[in-house]
Amino acid sequence: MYWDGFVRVYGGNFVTSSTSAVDVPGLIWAASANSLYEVDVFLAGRSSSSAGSKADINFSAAGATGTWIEFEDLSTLATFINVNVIGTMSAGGIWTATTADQGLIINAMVKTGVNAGNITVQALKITSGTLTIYSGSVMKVKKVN
Amino acid sequence: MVDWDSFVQVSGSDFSTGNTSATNITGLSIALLANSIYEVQCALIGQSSTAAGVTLAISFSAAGATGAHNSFVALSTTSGSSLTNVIGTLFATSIWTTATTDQNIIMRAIVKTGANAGNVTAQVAKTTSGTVTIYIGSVMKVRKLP
Repeated sequence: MYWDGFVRVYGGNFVTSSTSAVDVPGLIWAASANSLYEVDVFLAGRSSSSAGSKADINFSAAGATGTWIEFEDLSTLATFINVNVIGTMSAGGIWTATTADQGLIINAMVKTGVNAGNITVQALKITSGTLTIYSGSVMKVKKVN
Repeated sequence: MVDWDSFVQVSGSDFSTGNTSATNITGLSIALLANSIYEVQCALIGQSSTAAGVTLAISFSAAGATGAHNSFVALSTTSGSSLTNVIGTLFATSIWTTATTDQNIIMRAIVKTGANAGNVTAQVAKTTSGTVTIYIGSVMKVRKLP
C-alpha cells in the first residue's frame, strides 16, 4: 500500500458545538521533526444549521509549514475549494445544507520543523448548533521525506 | 485493493528553476507503455520567490498521447481553485502567488498513450521572473488502468 497507514473516527460519530477549532478524535498521526508528510482526508457528516462548519489540518508543534486544500460540498448543490496554511481555518464555511449528509476531501503537505508533533484534523461549528462527523471518516498519511 | 503501481520523488536536493517555460521537475518522471491508459497523481510542495507565482503541467514525452491534467491548487495561502489543461500544456493561471511561503498542489491526470512508449513528467515554469522551488519528497504516482 502506498500510504504508511490510516486512522479513523471510530466508536461512534463525533459531535461538537464548539465554535473554535477542536481536534476530531481519532484523526491524529504522530509526525517526526524535519520531515515532509502527505495527508489525505475524507470526512462525511452534516451541520445542524445553514451557518455550516469548518475543518482544517493542524500540526501540534511550532515550525510546521505548508497549505491544506479542501474540496468540499458547500451545499448539496455547490462545491468549493478552500485553502489556508497549516493550522488556520479558511474564511468560508462548509456543509451549509442543513441536516443533509455531505462530504469533504482535504489534501495537505505538512513540512515539519525542528519539533515533532501530531498532525490532526480540526473542525468547528459556525455560529451555533452542532457539527457531526461520521464514524469511519478517515485520514491517510505517508512520510515522503 | 486498488493502489498505485509505482511512485517517484524529488530526491537528493530541492528542485529549483528560474525558467519561464515548461521545465521537467527532476525525479518526477515515470516510463509508460504504448497504447495504455494511466492515472497519474502528483502531490507537490514548494514556493515561489515572487508574487507572480508559477504554473505547472503533466506532460508525456512521445507523440500520440492524449488526456488532461486537473488540479486542486493553492492560488495563494488563502485562495484555492481547480485548474485544468491538456497534457503537455501549462495551466493558464499562475498559482503559489504568496511569495516565499510554502504552498502545495494536488495534480491528477489521465494519460492515454498512443503508438509510442515514453515518460510522463511533472513540469513547472516560473511566471515572469524569479525562482520556483519544489521540495524534496514531492511525489508522482501512477496506476495503469486494466
